[in-house]
Amino acid sequence: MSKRWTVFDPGSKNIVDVDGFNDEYNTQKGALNGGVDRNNLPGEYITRAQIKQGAFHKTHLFTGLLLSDESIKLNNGGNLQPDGLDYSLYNGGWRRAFDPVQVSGLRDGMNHIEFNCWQWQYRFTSGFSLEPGGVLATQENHDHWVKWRILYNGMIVLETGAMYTQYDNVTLSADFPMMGGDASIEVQFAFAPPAYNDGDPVDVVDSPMFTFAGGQILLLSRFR
Amino acid sequence: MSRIVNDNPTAGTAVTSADLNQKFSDITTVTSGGVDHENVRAEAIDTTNLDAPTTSGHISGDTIILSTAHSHENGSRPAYGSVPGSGLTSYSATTGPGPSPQYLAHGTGSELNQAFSIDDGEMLRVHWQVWVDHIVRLGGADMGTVHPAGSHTIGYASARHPCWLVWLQWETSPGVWEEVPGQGDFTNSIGGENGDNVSETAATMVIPHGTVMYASRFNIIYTDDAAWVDEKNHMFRRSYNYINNTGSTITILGLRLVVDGLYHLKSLVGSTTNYMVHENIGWETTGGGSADNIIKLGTVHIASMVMRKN
Repeated sequence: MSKRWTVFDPGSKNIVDVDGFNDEYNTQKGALNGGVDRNNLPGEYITRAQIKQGAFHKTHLFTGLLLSDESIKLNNGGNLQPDGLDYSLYNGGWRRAFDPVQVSGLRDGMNHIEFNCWQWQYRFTSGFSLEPGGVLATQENHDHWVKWRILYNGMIVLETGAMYTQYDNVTLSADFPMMGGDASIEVQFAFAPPAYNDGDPVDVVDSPMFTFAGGQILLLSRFR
Repeated sequence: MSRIVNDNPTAGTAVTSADLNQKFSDITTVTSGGVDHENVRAEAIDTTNLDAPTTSGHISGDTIILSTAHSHENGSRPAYGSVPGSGLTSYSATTGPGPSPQYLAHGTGSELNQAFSIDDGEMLRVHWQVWVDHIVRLGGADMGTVHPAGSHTIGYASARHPCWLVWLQWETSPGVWEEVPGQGDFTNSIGGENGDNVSETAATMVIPHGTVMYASRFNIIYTDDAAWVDEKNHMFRRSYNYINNTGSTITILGLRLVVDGLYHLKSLVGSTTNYMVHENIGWETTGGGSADNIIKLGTVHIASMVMRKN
């Protein structure tokens, strides 16, 4: 607490002693040389111009994210089909949506992370049929879904439930404490695995099943 | 740097009042306009010291959050109607060789007509939501009608997967609306089948034109005898972020949403790039019932914020 910088006042009749003056003077200098605190500063005093870049927070934005993983993506030959995840290449499980993004120079504090995109899934491909002799629809062979999760330095900080709509918009956000240093942010998705009926595949294996685009990751790191 | 480093009077030397006054003048000199981080203790500044007034309406003056604004509609669900601004607003699928987006002029929530600026190194964050009242729901009995193959599998050959697009524009000069950065220009793209590459869809919201219901409880595809049934109360959300790295200030007069349809997702043969293709072919136009390629929108909200990047 720096505002009590006065040690004493010389009496009006006293002979001023230099040591006493220096005590007083040193205390005053000490208060100003690194001792100013919130009691010395007026309220609503510090404006934007006085705040150094990165003093309170740091923002990273990654944009233009879309499904580009050729190891699971079909390059189709159909006139009406998009390119997307292909059951002949994908059999379920969590997959990277894109290469993890890297950030550095973080300090202790809290992270706010947002991921958004739009997605499409081929919800209706299962081989069920209401025709005589056809495969009956079941939840297993019909319901396709997409799940998302976000990993921060390998730790899951957000995981969604299943999303069923064939076109949908993904808007996810999470807040969590962080340590200082560097960070890797990975977004993963899981798509419903191909369905089988008595051992026979009922899903079309060579059709695009899922894709996404318009993705952005916003990392807002608030320092302690 | 305002550290006070002048010497003290030395014991045993003759000191005048002028000498002492000079010592205080030295302090005045270095602290007049020169107090900085060298003077302030660690963790000395509290929120009360920050000039962070509550702002709205894109009024500048904050320290981190520079300005905020939002548009919204009060009240409950509007009554049915087709007049913009009163009740639901219907938009018909556009036809012709190319896209023709329509200004989403529903009520007071679909345009944020407040000017703001984004300096270099500042960030714009926008969130919006659209309430959709009408999504076509196809029952199992209709699927065979709609899709002549009768396989009860909605494939690409007989029907696309149609959707509506709602995307964000900003007003760069009076009456001039442009897509925000990272968002493709569907309006001026090539007419006919080829729309913009979906890699430029940072501010695109997709809304399915229809959906198929499955009643797992009965282990059957939903079999409503009606050709289609309106699905109610779908709320779609989307967000968009942009950091100005242009080196100069961007002045924006407002934000708004436009809507257009129908689109469907497509990749050209041999290409690995997906496109949103404008084509007025909905599921229900291929058979059964009357054509109903419309979308009905209710309340629309837009919220925006400009903040320091760092």
